[in-house]
Amino acid sequence: MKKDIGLRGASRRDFVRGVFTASAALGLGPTRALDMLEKMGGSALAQAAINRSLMVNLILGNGAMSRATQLVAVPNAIKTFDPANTSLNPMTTGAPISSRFKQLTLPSGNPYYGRIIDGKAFGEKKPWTVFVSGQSQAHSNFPAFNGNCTTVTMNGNVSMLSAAAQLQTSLHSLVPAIGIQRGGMSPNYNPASPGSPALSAVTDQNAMVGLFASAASQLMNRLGDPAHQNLYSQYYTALLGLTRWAGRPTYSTSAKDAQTALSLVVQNLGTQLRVQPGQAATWAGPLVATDNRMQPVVETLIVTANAFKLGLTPHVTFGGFFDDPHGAFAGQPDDLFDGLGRSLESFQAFLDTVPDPVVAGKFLGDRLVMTMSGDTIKNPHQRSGWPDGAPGGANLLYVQGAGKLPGGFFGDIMQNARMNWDPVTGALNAAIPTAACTSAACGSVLYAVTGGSTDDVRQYYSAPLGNTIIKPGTT
Amino acid sequence: MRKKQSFLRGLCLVGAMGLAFCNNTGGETTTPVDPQQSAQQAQGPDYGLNHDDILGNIGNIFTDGRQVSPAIGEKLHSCGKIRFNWLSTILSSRGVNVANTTANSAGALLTKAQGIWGVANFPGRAPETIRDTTSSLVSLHDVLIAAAEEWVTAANMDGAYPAAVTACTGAKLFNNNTCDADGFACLMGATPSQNQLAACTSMINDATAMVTVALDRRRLAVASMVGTVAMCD
Repeated sequence: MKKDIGLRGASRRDFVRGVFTASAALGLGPTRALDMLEKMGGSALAQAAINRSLMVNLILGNGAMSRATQLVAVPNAIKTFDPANTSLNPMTTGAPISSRFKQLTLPSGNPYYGRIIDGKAFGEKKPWTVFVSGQSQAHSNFPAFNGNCTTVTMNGNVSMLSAAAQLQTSLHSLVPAIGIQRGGMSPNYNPASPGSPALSAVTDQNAMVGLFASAASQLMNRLGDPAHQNLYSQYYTALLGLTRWAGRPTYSTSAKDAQTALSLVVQNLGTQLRVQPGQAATWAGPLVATDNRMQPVVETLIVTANAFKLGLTPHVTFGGFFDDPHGAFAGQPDDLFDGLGRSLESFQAFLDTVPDPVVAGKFLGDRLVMTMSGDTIKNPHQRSGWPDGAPGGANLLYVQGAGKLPGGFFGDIMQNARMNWDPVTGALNAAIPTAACTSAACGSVLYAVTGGSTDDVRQYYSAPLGNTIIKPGTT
Repeated sequence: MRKKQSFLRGLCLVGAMGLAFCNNTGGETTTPVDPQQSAQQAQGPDYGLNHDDILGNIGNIFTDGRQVSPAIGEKLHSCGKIRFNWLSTILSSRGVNVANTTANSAGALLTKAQGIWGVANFPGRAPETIRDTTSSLVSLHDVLIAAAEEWVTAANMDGAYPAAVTACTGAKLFNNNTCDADGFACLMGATPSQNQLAACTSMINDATAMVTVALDRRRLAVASMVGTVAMCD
């Protein structure tokens, strides 16, 4: 196998692109192209070409999705801002709304008004993309919450979350997908993509640590003692080789999984994964770190960041807030609004400092996809009581697209109607069916998860992804 | 009666006409057939893509033993996960208190493992998973190591099954300093091979690994013996 091609940086990426282009021109599939890359440049080069993203999905149920509209505001709510009626707060009473939301000028031309937190707009460094998507379904939680913003129903029929988890199996992480339950119920991944990994369901962020820290590893009379670990590992491995199925190729995957599990069960990764003292306050802000709604969210983000850093999992879905904030504008609402935004920015900033083990010179934050979805965004134009009825039954899907999606809003929510958008041009178009927008939005998210491959998205969403709703050629 | 006869006559008439139509060999209505096309359509869209010849390549079931296609065969003959309820039943019928809520007990760990194990979530319309995941295997290790503490105790170093259990009564896991074939057979579901028993016996007597407490060695031996078979259904 020849590995003497000196490829670094841009030339390396150009080379990868060139091989894929030539393969397409010759009618060869991506698998063959990867095979060629592997033969010419080694497995690392081939691996770089299929670098899937990491994914975190925050599901803001029971009315809490409305909180997301305080981070990237609905454009029409800013344009028609009325302090008495709009569901947004300026910094101080009587100040213009620009004191709270900063307009960013994006290359895509899409409107973007990011909440000013600690002097910077939310998503200023890496703007979020917001799709008008799905239907409002007030007060529902998972699994009753049917994921209507995250399901492809046109040109495919699959849960975007399930499809993403399946795409990420090529990362071969220890736990392919984690779902944090609420009241014993797991996040909804239906319709499941055939062959997608089973969701490892846990009760909370502490139980998530427990996924990677066995009870046995914490007790000296079990596997806490290194001598016990050695004895157990040595003989378990030997006994695996003595089973009746040992050597059968159809069992080889399970045998490898058993070995991986063995290496994990003897380790106590809890200390590396757990939230450190004071860390939640640093991430979310000292005023809200102990709030019973904020604390689970920020702690889950911290544990997830640590798990990503250790390469233990690429996919975490969890719920948050569930507080139906009809009265959110009373009292001191900004601390919690800021806390959510600050937590998400801290999560991104943390991973922006962790070197990517696969792609030299990159960081894990460069391939981080985050989504926020939920049951209802409430009415952005009615501050009093912040009622559940969003105009036109609209809902939103917020996405941090790892640089693979253009930032800003697709669609809008007017005073009395929703404004859908054209999946091909991205332009406002009220005549486009909601299912078409929702499915295209999910397709775009999957594009970001693939690391920038429209071919890999097609099995889940078969319509073309317009160049305005993704950033093509960003592999 | 007359009505019934008329109905049957009518039925026969329609049937006869139908047969006559089917037997019509008149050349003027025959559509020419492209022989190449008909050959290509033998495995049409209903069959999907015949990737790597995995479809229809059943072979001779009397000579090669294969009764299904290789793709199906591989799936059926790979390691399937033991259902959660089955594992619970196996453990409880052999004396493990699966309802125990004491921290780090087998029962508590088993309860905690349900989500990781992928038990059916009926409200979420998700069936129980049929394949192990790495995390489910980790939890299996955890549960079995804890269960071994109930099977083998300082007062019951030979791991004799309690008299009250519904299975394995009278058997024991160890016979002095050797692993007992019958005792392990009852726990593993099949008699262990001589090599497995030899490895087990070696483990409980292995002083080189610096595990000085014999009780700990025995417990770990039970967990590792059962762990290698309980991972597959």
